Amino acid sequence: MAKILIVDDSLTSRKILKGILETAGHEIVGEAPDGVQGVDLYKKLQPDIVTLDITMPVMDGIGALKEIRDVDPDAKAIMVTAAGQKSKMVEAVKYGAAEFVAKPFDEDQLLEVVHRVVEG
Amino acid sequence: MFGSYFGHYLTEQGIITADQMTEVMQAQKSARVKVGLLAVASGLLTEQQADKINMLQQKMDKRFGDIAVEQGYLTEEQVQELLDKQGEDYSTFVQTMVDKGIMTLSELTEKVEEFKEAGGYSDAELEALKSGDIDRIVPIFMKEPALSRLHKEYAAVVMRSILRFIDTDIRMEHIEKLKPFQGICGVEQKMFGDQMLYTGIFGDKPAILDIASTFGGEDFTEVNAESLDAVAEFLNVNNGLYVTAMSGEWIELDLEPPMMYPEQKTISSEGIAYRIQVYLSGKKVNIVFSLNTDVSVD
Repeated sequence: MAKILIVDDSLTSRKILKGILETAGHEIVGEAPDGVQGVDLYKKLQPDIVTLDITMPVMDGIGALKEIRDVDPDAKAIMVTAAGQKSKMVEAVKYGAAEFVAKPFDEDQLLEVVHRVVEG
Repeated sequence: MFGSYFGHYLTEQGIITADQMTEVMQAQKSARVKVGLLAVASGLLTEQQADKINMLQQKMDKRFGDIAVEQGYLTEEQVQELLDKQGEDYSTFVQTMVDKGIMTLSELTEKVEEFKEAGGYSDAELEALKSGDIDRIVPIFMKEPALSRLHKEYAAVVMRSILRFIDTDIRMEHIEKLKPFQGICGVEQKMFGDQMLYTGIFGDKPAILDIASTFGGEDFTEVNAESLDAVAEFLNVNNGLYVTAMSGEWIELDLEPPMMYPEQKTISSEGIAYRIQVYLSGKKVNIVFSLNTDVSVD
């Protein structure tokens, strides 16, 4: 089971993610509503996995991914997106995103992705 | 959905009461079996296949039957058979009205003709309304001459999302050019890239709370940051589906974070923007959108 940090500006989205992941036995070690707070929490909490929403205020998920991978090149990040924005996905892969999940969340798919990232 | 339009007409004319309308719509909602369930019950799909289609449907703006055909699980004929079994919207509405003893079949037939005349619907439009097929219904209300394909596609995506995620009892009014109006509360999200799109959902408290409660999965009773966040997330997911659809047509769009407005605001635009008034189980929300024109919320 993994220690997970959730970074998403949507409270609704964070609640849904938290519910699915905790029910499956993962531990949510922290939550942040934007990239800047997400990076700070990542440094403090050192989670096994961080989920990063791509569209966020202050600093988006791609910006947060870059900063997190700068301080921890082995960081495992799952990018969360409401849209199949090809250019953003390419950018996220370039900066080392481990996986993608799409909103609205499908429980089975989300847990499968988390499992792959934990194993990987 | 036919019931939402025709039932509204009957209520407005004082032929049935609002309570009778609510009773009929609730009975129709509970009687209508989803195509996926029918397919599993008929042995045409396994539960796993139906789950996979449901999962894919969350990610793309397509109907259950269309995805089932694309995946090679069902033929188009089988999908049509299932839709026939599910029953046309009109038939199930009429059946419910008659079963509940609210009107006789001949009274209903007569009133449908009056409804057609009053709404100015053509034969084909009436048939589209009777079918309950959202893709045939939306164009009836999209007759503003200046509307582009991107506008029409956005309206279609948002109506399909409301139907899929929020409520099956929906009725849209004819699209209109935005004139300043007061929104009690709401959310907005902009998209940028190859085009700039403004999108917003504004409404009265009951409709906004309905969207929040249904999409957020909890019973919200107050318009506040939490309930508006759920509405914003609905708009975000809807816009994500639109961005994905546009990306298939080589139009790249990015989403900005949504904005929330818990207090009354005036929504206006100096350029051409559009507004669709949509009723969800009788509660009104305004869908506002524009292409390459900003909308002010003051």
